[in-house]
Amino acid sequence: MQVEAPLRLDRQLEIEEDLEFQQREWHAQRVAWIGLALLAISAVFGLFGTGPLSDSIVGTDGLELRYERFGRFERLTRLRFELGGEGHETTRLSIGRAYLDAVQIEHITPAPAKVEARPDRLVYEFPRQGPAAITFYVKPDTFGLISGEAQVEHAAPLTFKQFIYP
Amino acid sequence: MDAVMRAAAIYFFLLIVFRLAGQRTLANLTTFDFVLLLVIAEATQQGLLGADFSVTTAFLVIVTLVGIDIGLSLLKNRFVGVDKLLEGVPLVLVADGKPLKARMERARIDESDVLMAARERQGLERLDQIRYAVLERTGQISIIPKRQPAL
Repeated sequence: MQVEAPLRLDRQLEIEEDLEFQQREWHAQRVAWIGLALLAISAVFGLFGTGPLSDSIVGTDGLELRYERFGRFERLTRLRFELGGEGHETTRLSIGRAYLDAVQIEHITPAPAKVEARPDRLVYEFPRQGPAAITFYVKPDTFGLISGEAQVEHAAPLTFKQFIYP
Repeated sequence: MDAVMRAAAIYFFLLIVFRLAGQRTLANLTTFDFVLLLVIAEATQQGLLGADFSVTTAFLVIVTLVGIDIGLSLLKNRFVGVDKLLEGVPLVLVADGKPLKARMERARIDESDVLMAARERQGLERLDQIRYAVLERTGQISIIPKRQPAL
């Protein structure tokens, strides 16, 4: 939409109008409003965590992990390990050191019976009967891309990546 | 280091968002605008300080915010382009009692806004008593009344 031509102001009003700049500003604003709306909509769908775009699953029948692809700095996120099969004894779930260095584990449900430190990983022991779910609540301590690796005995190891917003 | 980066990020984010929202967004503070402002401040505060309650962090954040503000004001003084980019330009909305409709529409201002400013600042009653109405860079509307004919 075109605006009236620059006014021929009389000398009385000393003002620095800049219609060309003003037009560009209005245009930029309108583009930006669309951008802001898209940002909010994508946030609703989980681009910044908690939403369908963010929910992910990896793994096989033996060990399946549900996690969030997008996380935020110092904001709690969940890793839910689902253990299949007919385990009736102790399950040993190990998580790689690299991931544990990038996050802070707030709590684990159920609490592990024992934790063993190895050079490159921590091994958590959980007594269980039948299929079970173990949830780690973690807070990322860094931002950017972090990747994790988890494994239970007799199942293929799985890896997952999370992008943590600052 | 962390506090400085956070403060700088928040400063520039707010600068960009409010610049793009337009001058009028929070210019004439209605009660609701005021509440909105408080809520925005509250949301900002969390990101600014996180869970850090130390006085040092508060000092660093304040120093960073004020420092950036001073730096930008120096730049604005030095370069006209920066000044326009950060603050916008004034716009004449009414000239010789005639509203410039297209401009007002683009600037999201209607006649009643102009008339309100005219009443508040100059005690004017009608549009034709206004010589110029200008949307200032602050988002306020300034009114220059027509000269009264000599009695």
